[in-house]
Amino acid sequence: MSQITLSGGAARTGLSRRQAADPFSLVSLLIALVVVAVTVASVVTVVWDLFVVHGHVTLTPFEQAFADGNVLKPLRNTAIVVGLSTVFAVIIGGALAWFNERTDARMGLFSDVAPLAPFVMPPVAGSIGFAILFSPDAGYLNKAWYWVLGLVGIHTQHPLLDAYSWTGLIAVFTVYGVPFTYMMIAPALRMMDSSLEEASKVFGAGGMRTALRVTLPSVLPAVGAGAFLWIWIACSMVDVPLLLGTPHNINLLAPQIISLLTYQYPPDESGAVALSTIITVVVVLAWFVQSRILRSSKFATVGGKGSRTQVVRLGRVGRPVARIAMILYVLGTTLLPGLALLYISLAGSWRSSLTFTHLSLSQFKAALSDEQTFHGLINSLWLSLVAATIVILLAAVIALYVSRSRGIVGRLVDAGVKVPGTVGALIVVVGILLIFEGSPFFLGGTVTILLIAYVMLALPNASVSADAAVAGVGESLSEASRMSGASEFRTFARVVLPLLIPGLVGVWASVFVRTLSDLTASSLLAGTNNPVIGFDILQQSTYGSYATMATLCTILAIFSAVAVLGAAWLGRRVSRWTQDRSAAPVSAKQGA
Amino acid sequence: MALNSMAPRLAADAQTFDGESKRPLLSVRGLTKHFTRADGTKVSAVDGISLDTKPGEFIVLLGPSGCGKTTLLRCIGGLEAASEGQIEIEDQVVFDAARRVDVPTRRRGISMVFQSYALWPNMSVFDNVAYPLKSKRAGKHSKAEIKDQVEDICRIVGVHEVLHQYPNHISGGQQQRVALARALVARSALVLFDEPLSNVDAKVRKELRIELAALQDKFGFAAVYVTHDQDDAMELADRIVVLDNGHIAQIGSPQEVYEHPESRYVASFVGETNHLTGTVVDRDAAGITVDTSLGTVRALPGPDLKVGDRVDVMFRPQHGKLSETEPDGVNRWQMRYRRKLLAGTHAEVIVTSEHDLYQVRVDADFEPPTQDQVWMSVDPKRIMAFPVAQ
Amino acid sequence: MKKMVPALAATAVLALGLSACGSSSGGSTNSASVDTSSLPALVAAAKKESGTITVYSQMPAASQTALDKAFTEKYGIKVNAVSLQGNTIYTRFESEARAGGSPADVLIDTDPTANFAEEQEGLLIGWSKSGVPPLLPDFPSQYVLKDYDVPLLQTIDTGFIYNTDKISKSELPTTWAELAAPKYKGLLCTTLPDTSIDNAVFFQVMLDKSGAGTLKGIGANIGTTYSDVLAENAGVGAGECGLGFNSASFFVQPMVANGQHVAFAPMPSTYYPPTVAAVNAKAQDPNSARLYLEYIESEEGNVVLNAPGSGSLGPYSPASDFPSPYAETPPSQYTTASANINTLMGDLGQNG
Repeated sequence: MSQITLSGGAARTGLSRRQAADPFSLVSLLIALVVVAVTVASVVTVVWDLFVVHGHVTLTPFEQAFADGNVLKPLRNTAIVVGLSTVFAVIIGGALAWFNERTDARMGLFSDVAPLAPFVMPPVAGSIGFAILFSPDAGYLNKAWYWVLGLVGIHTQHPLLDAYSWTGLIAVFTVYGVPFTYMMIAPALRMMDSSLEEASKVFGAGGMRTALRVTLPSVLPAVGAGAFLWIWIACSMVDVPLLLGTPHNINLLAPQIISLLTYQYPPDESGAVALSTIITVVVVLAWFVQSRILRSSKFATVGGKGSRTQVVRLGRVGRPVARIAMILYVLGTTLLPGLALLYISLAGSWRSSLTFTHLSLSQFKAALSDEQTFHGLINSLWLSLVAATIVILLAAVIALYVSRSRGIVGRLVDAGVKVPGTVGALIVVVGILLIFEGSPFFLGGTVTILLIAYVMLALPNASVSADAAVAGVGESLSEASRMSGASEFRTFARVVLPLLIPGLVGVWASVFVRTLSDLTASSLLAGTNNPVIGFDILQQSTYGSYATMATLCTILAIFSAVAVLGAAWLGRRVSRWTQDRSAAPVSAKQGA
Repeated sequence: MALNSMAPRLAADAQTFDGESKRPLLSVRGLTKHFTRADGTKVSAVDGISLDTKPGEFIVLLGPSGCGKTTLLRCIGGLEAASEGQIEIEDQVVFDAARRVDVPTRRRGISMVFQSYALWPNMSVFDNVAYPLKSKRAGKHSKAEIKDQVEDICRIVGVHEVLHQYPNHISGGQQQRVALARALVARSALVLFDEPLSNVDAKVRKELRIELAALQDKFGFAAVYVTHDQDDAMELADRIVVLDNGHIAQIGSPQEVYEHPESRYVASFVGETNHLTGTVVDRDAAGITVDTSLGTVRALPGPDLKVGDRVDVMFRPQHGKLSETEPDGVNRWQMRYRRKLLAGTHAEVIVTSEHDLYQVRVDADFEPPTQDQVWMSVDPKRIMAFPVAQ
Repeated sequence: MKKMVPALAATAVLALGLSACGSSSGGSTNSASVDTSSLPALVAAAKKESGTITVYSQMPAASQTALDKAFTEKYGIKVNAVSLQGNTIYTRFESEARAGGSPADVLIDTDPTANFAEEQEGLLIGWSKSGVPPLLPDFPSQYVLKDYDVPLLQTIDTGFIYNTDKISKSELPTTWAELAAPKYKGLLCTTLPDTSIDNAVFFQVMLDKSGAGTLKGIGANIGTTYSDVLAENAGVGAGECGLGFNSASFFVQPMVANGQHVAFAPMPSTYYPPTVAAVNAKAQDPNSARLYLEYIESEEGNVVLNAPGSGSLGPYSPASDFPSPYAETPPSQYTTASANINTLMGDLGQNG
């Protein structure tokens, strides 16, 4: 018999003072403090000198950065692009999640992987792919469009989609946003008790109304987390707006910050940090909203009570339509740009017309036979694997600690893990270099310092997902474990962590992919002793060609695809514990 | 599952715990728990509660939502920490606010059945039940021993056939039993129950109550059982603790609490009542006379009741009598007959006075009166009178 | 599941443990043991050092590798070249120096003002103080950038890249003012002044020589802007735009060889972006570092880098290869351009 289970945030009890001395809590706190210390230290090390001159705090960098009025336009543009792409990403991600988790349109593992497909292509590569397809004059798809229209006698200047327009930019942002919203919403929908929806239908509401008025509100924290996560990432995205926004002058904040650091000498670090505070403010606001949602108790959690999923039957028309939509989605967002990249890898350059003669694998051979590249690839692969795993473990432990602690310490830890990262990846990496490169750690030129940087860069975003995942596991399950005599370590390992996995596999894949294609930490910390693939990509991005970059990115995409597939499979396998999709709904009157 | 089918299994080796021992198994002293509301006001969910539980005794904490029963239970279990007071379990001080003692849950040596069952969805039924044994609290067990104990308890509780399935693949009733098996497998001397039957329908509740009682008999554990359902309390409890806003309203055996409630609150919470308010107009050795909207009501003398006091007057439906002709007896009133509600073994008749509605229990074959006038009478011995709470 | 967690944790710990032994970048100054009395003495001193040097370079990998290979063949000292673009090279070098010492022995970079600033801070050693000039008495003096105390290593003659389908050779302009004409509307593309200091200087020079009117006219004709020259070249090659500024023949040559419809042509004024080189003041292998510097600035080494007809020019390239005589960009021009970026952007109609 199904019941509406409402437990959640408010039911979480604080640990009493004596119980808080449990070894696990102490270790969690220690881990949290170390992470916060490193994060805060790496940022403060860089930022301190910019804002504290001769012992006085100075706000001149702020005045300068905001004075010349150059900030308003990029700020407005960023607000539009991030805001709209968030809305669309939530809608599309939510719809995909609903199709996959609550209807019979699921197509097995493909459905789990499809929404995460854009993860496979790092933004630096994906944006090139979209440019190749949708450049208004030179894009292959637009050229095909003009040709097709020409066949029926229409001659127009209007492309199918202009990659460099507002629409194009928002579309590409949305494409990169959907995996994040999806990976937050889908596990929540998966674990939701369908009795809530059944009740809605009993009272006469149709499928759509049920979806909007019942399903959506009960997964609101997941939606909030997804939106929050994407807003944060979108504000800091550099590669996409740099490539697709510049041609027609749509300037966003993050590229402007980067250009202050990268293109002028001496780099205007204080200006960059001052502008980054805008992003910090946005992220803090979004975090505030999301934590309010999390702390309210109005949502459904896994309560160990056993819920049944009833799938919505879409019917003979609905089901193929939904499936085709999903397939088109993967095609449009990942497969086509990927093929475009593959094409120019094989063709050697971005040719003005699609010709299939003179295609060769010479680019791939050249890339893989280069010893540095090969070594770098191996390094990057296992570094990404280890980093992703460490990140989700740390994020889970810290999120659990924060959710259980009532006092100021928990809030400080939460802030300490998230907020310093908002000043930007480059600042964080410089800080790590300063702390760990020389004495007393002497980690310069090692893979360890790269690992530390990767973990620190990925942790803030991952903690957002971890918070939502932790909120979805009912505290009564941990209480039952304690009642059974288990230590907190055992409770974490046997009860909490396994139930966090569905909510964390998406993060794992995302961290893996981001680390694999990372350019920031690589540029400052990698070298001949510790090469990584990001290095090669950077090199190609200035003196190489799109073709050589595309080659490297294609290689990365293959590994990323494997990682995403693996993560999706694991997530689905683990989720079968919390849902039984094949059992028929049980009748209300239970016999013994 | 038919009633009594478990009896043979359970009757086999019913244990008696050492109920003769005078030392309490659980001792709660002056327990208070404060909460601060969002607007800053301080609320005591549990206010100065003291109670003892003997080994093998079944205590029910009864009360409506918000009366503090669950908070009290969670404090006993160590899932929450009280603000003041002490708790001792098996002669060990597990909580003492003044001396800052708060033994963690897992070292208190107790078990619990949660309202939501809290079965771990990632583990099979077997692993769920085996978990307390594997957590080595009860001493180290070999794999074979664990297997035996788990299979044993599951057989007793009746979930042996789903031993290797996952909680999500079994029915709600089976989940409930698994939760029970998990709580009993380690043979704790004290088991806490947090409204375990609240999600089950009436028929199954009755069956499960009987099985639970039988299990308690067999294993001899002491139980602290939280519920808002008075039937649970009446059928299961050795003693009922009726709670009202964090205080104990009354402790007593089911019979005591039912037949001799000490306040209006207890009377109306345990069993059904008809209720009036009135003023005491006369008091003598034989009883008191109360003037009410129904008319004059005669009741036995209550110790604190004086002339002029406002009182709550109550009687139970089964103590009311209906007749078409005017009966003898001092408590008789003319009522208007409304309807008869059949309840299988008996019927409830609704009658009204000018102001109120009353319920009287009658036989199932009661014939409604020809006119709608009927007399209602109640023996003064059966009238309960309590001072109106200030 | 139970088994995975400890296994993964062990892997992580193992990984950390194995690589925890980092190289200590202690800053040994060793300046006392530098011997630049003669080339053979320097060679001998260098060979006594570790046998490997590290070079942080902003040059294209292919050029860097060819140069390093020749050096290693001649002297047997290995070169670890690390490619860093943009300000990253300075950020990294300075941060490492701040953290206790950079592993880089030699810096090859493209912003002489930055190079000079670091020299002022004691991080790099100026040309005149390195001890190398006496070893290269024939080094042409006009290629020593005196304002920055650094030698020119390489430069490129920048020019137009144009799509031959969209613009014919006869349509190429001979002056900047011509590009303001309506017939070029939408055909022009460029990287903007705020994308690199070289670009800023380029447009500043254009402003100084041809006036704001021309600049605005050109701005009105710009169809697409790019964040870097790689994207610009690719865009011209694909037909996104017709005529791009500030490309180089060594970018264009491979594209032509690949069959793309592009060509290179000189611009009305040429800006020569300099690539310069300097030695780390606290190099771990100071003699090897100086030997490297000597080699790359010697005719033998430099010609490996700047081979005739390759599109890159150096101190030993014949004067006829330079469209206009090479001249050092004075610091004031960098400063002006840098301060003037907003005006330049505005004139180009790019403050939208």
